[in-house]
Amino acid sequence: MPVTLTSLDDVKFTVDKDVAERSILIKNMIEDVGESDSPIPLPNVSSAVLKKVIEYCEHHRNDPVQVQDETDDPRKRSNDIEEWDMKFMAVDQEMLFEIILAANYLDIKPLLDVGCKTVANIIKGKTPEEIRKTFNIVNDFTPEEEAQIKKENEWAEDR
Amino acid sequence: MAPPVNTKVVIGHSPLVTSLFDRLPIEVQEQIFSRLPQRDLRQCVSLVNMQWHTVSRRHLRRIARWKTINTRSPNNSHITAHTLAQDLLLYQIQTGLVSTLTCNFFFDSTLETELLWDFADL
Repeated sequence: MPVTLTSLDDVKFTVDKDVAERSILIKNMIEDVGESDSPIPLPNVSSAVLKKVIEYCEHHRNDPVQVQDETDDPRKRSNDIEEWDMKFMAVDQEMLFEIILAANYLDIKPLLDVGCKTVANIIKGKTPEEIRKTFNIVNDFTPEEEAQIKKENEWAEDR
Repeated sequence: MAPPVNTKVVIGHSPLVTSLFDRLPIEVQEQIFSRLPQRDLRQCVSLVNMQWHTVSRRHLRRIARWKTINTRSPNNSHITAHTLAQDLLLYQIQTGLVSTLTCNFFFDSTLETELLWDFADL
């Protein structure tokens, strides 16, 4: 049975139920409301982002459902991204963060995981200045503030 | 690339917070940083300082000031700073912002033990 999703900007996407149900939020909505032809509104997701999310869900439609595991190893890695996922995540920074936000909102854990890994990989191995440049961050501390903060955090410096 | 943002940030020495990170919920920020190896966390001064900015700077500074003055040798900045880090984490655990599992990930076994001792005293 197809399911219709409506984005923030009122664009409708019709997808197979099993694709839509990669999202736990949508799955729960369908279960709560029952079989219905009414579109499911997703007011937090723009059409551009929803299109990407659907692409991900379609590709992973046959994956086993990832169960939330509280015993999950906290020493998580970021170097185990599948090739397709890596290409999928090769988007500009704005879109990357929008996908992460959408995955979090729609409760699509594997997509959220791959998004977090991608951001972690962007940070990895970079110096503070490189990270600043990558994320386009303006350093607007006054020299006094910066000196104070450096002093407060000197314990974290490599010696 | 996103436009420059006017956020108080000194990565490596202060909260790692950008406009993009600011938009992410705390638990998602936590997930991202939990993926970083220890050396990169040090480079970014770890989650603790990021949360410092995001959560309750005033409250955490008050704890830090109290600890610095009252509990440890003010001449030993390393110990004082570790104590500060512990306090920040304890605050976050108490307020449910960071899981104990994540705390364990971020600190070496010595500090972890200290943290557990302090936590037991609460």
